[in-house]
Amino acid sequence: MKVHADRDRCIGAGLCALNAPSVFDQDDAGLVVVLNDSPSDAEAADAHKLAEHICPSKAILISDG
Amino acid sequence: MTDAVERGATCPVAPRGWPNPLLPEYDQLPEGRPLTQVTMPSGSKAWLVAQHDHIQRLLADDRFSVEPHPTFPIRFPAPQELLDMIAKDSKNLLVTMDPPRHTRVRQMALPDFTIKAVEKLRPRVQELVDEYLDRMEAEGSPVDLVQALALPLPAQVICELAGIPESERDTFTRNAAIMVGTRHSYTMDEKLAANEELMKYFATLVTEKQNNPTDDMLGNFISRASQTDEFDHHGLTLMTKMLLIAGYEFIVNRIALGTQALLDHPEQLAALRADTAGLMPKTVDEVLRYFSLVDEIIARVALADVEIDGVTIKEGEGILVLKGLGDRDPAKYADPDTFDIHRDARDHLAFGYGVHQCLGQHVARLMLELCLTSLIHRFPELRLVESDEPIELVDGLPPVHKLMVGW
Ligand code: SF4
Repeated sequence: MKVHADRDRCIGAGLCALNAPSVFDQDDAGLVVVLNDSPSDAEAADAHKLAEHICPSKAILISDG
Repeated sequence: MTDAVERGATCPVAPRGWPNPLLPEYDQLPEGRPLTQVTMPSGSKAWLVAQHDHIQRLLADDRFSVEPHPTFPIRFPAPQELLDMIAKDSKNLLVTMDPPRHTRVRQMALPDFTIKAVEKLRPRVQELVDEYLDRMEAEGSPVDLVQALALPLPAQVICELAGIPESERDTFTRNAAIMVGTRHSYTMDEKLAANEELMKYFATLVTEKQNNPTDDMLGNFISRASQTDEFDHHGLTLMTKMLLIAGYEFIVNRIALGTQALLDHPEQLAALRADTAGLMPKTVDEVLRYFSLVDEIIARVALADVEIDGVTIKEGEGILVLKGLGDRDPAKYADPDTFDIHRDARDHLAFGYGVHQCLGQHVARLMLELCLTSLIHRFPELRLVESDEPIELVDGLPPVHKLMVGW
C-alpha cells in the first residue's frame, strides 16, 4: 500500500497528523506532509479511514503496491 | 421563541422532534433519510441532506458553491436590505468564498491554526482553566458551570489570541455574546447594535495591528493579508470579526454539554478517570459527534447537475446539510443516540466537512480536552445539581445558559 497526499487539495485541517502521526505531519504552513508512504498494517487502517472518511478535502490518496 | 426541553438520561436535546420554527419539514424526514426536496421561503428548491455518507460526498464536491447566487437557499425569510448587506459582506468572509480565493485566504490564517501552533497554547490554556477552577472552588458548591468556566474560558482565550487588551475585553465579550445569542434571546435591533459596536472596535484594532504588527494569531493574519490586495480595510475588519466570534458559542456549549453528558454516564466517567490519556481523545470526538445536533444548517448551491444515489440535484438547486442528523445516522454509528466514549467517532461532522471545515477546530479540541480533564480530576465528586431552569432552546438552537454542578 502506498500513501500519497495532494498538497494542492489539502486545506490544512491537520486531522491526518492528529490521527496518524507516524504517517503524516503538517508543515509550518499547515499543509500535509507524508512521513512514511509505505505504512505498516496497523497504520494502514488509520490511513484508509483518513482517506475515505476523515480528511475533509479528499487530499489523501491510497494506492495498492 | 423559546421552548423548554427536559433533560433525558441519554439525550438532553434531541434533534428529532425538537421544534424547528425555520424548517417544519425537518421533523418529517422519511426514515432512512434519503434526499428530500423542500421549497425555500424564496420559492426556490433545495434538498435536505441528512445521511452521513451523502453529507460527506456532497460537501467534498467542488461543484457546490457557497458564494452568493440567485437561488442560493436562504433559510430565513429576510428583508431585501439585509440580504443585500449579507451579499456584500460575504465577499470578505472565508465561509462564503469558493476556491481558489478561499484557498489563498485560508492559507493566510492557517499557520497559526496548525496542531503544532495550537499545542503551544496548551500551557497558557491550562493555566486559565486552573484559575477558573480555583475561583469555582473558592465560591463553593454548587455553581453554574457556564458562568464559572464554559463562558469565560473561550472568551479569554480568544481575546489573548487576538491581543485584545484587558481593559477592552468586556466590550468584546458582551457584544460577542449578544451577537451569537449566548445568553437568552436578543432582538434584531440589539444584535445589529452589538454588531455595529464590534465592527467599530475591530476597525480600530485592524488599523492598530497594521501600524504596529503583533505576534498573535490575529496580528499574523493581518500582516499576511496586508501584504496582498485580497482585502480592503472593511474586508479585513469583517474577516477579523468572523475569525474571533465564529467558534465562541460552539465551544461554550460543548464544554457545558460535554460535562453534562459525562455526569449523566457515571460508568463512562469512571473509565475516563481511570484512563484519561487513553480515552480523552475519543471522548472529545464523541462529545463533538453527540452534540453536533446543535445543528446550524449548512447550505450550498449546485453549479452543475450532480447525481447522487440516483437523485439528480440540478444546477441552481440548493442543498441544506443537516449535520446534526448526519452525526446521529444509524447507518454510520451503531446506536447513534447513545453517548459512548469508547466508540470511534473521529469522522463526525461537527466541524463541517470539505474545504470549509472549521479552521479553529484544534483550538476547540484543546479547550474541550483541558476543561473536561481538569474538571473530572479536580472534583472527584462532581455531580449535576437539579436546576429549576430547564435547558432552553432559543430560535431553534439550544445554547446552554446554565448548568448547575456541585461537589
Ligand atoms: S486531513 Fe486532509 S486536509 Fe487535513 S491536513 Fe491532512 S491532508 Fe490536509
